[in-house]
Amino acid sequence: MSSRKDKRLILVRNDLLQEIIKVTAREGKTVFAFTNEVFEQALEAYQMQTNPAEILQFYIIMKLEKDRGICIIPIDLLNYMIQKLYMIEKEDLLQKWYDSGSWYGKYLSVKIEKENWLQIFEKQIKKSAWNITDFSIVEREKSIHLRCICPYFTKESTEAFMKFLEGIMHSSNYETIKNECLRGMILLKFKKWKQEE
Amino acid sequence: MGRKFLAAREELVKRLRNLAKNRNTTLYGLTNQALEQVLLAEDLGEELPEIIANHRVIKMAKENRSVLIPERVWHLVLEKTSEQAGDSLKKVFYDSGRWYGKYFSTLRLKASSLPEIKSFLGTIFWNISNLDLIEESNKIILKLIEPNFTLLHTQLSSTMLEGIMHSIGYATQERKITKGLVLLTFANE
Repeated sequence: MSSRKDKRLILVRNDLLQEIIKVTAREGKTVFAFTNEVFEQALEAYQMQTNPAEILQFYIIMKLEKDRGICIIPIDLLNYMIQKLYMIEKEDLLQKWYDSGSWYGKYLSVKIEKENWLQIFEKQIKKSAWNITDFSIVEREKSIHLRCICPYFTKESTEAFMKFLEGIMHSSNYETIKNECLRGMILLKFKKWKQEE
Repeated sequence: MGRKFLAAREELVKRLRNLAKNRNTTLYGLTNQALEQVLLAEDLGEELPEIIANHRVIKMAKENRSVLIPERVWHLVLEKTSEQAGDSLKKVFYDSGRWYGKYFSTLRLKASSLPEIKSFLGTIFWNISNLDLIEESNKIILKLIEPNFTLLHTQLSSTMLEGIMHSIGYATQERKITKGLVLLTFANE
């Protein structure tokens, strides 16, 4: 039990305090205990070189990834397996990545507004494909330029990921007009292939 | 907007005040931001401690060069590669598990704490619907239930889990595996 000496009063926004009172009443906690818990967590977040807002935003993105059937795999394991499979079932493997991208593209278009689609897609990939060091989508003269740098990918994994990205873009009515793929680097150019109704 | 006083532990307030100073912000701004986020999390039906624990593990996975890939692609890769690679695949999974476990125990001082291991496994294997660790008379029982897994996927996941547990300091005593179900018993070495 904290004594009065161990406590400090701090100013907070009144609307937040009112919400906290409601939450603590619902959860059967004291406001004091709840506040301490929040501050401990916030300090831990700052220790991880981030902040509670960023952590929450990242969590929401990760939840979206989890809901769409994504799993966490060590990259060496993935590279090893893709390399093995590439030699014998290249077409099937690339098709599966492409189909998966198509599905993801459709899923994103259901989840997010059409107007912001490209920006949100870019943001989603930047946050969740964390092994990618550079990812950008730029609209230039009626075409879309996509650049992806993934230095830890083998040539085979890079190509598989390129198919995934093409699948996403094709499902949103873009067609590829140029594609370049080197180990760890993907450069794609698209144009809209039909007007949406 | 109105302001009111809120009580908190002195040592926490001190640390927050220092943090605010280092970040060129005010204690008022910093605490409001933290409270705002926790209320947002509540609205989403989540709790901040869980979110932070999750973040810690994902950060670890990021540093560990793990990637997120669609499960449907992963299943195909797994099934097809196993036809080619046979038993050598098991070793690759086991080594990956050992690497994860070593990394985890190097970074976390309380690596032997069961809830922490459980939270770590639960996040890394988030695609598994039921993954539990129970302590029973000096033994640790690991249960995995995932009805969507093929037998191969179940076996390889079990191998990876064993790799993790071995490098954390547990030895396998018993292993029961059927499609979608794993029951592993470990003893502390």
